[in-house]
Amino acid sequence: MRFLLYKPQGYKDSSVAKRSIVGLSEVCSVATKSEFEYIMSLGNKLGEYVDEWIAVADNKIVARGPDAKEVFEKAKQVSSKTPLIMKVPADKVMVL
Amino acid sequence: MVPNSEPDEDRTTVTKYLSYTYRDKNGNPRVIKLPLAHIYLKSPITDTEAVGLLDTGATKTILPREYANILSLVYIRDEKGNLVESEVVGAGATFICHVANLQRLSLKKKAASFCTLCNILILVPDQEGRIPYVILGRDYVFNRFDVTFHERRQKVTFTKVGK
Repeated sequence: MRFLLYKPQGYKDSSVAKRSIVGLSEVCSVATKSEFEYIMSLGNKLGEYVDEWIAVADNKIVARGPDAKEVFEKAKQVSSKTPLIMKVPADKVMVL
Repeated sequence: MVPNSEPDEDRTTVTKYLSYTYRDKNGNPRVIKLPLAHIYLKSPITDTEAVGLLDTGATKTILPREYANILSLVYIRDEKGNLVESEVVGAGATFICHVANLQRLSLKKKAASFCTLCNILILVPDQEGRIPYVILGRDYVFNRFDVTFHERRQKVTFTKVGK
């Protein structure tokens, strides 16, 4: 997302304006972050949900539990957006 | 068989591995680094987003039973009315899968789809808990993209295969 920096005449210090623009850009990027990007941004915090099904909607974990369908139904009640449902993988050897 | 598909936006797409650490029950640190892709699944009933493992060792795409139940997928039956079955063989485990039609499977990056497959046949294990995530096998995605794994950089590059 790009913003044009408007510097009014006589306005010498544009750092405040720049900070505001950066702040606005960050807000916009958070607002448009996909559910998967939110998952990726969690980092090690995701480890708290290992082996559980989680639902992400509106950039937050809105439901968790052992039953995927229950987690999905709960997420649909909380948000009108299509949720991301996933089982947080544990460190197991997977060979298929 | 090349499934029905919609036009893709970009020729090359790069995605990151899902990576995190946690401590197991004994307090030992565990590290997860998986080439999981962001996917969108749609049936005539409902839709959901999910994650799928890019698996060069899998010949077919397999959907966990849990997602099939959420989507209320209808399984394919033979002329006698029996569910069509397929035996899936892995290292140390063999299980039965049923065949279902999935209306749409899209691979996504950020909010946009870069690969959309329509009306594809996928395998679904006969029980929940068989597999933890969608297995993206070589039957669909790998036919449309050259997929390169950058293990050290924890990235995957999808390069659209020219016609």
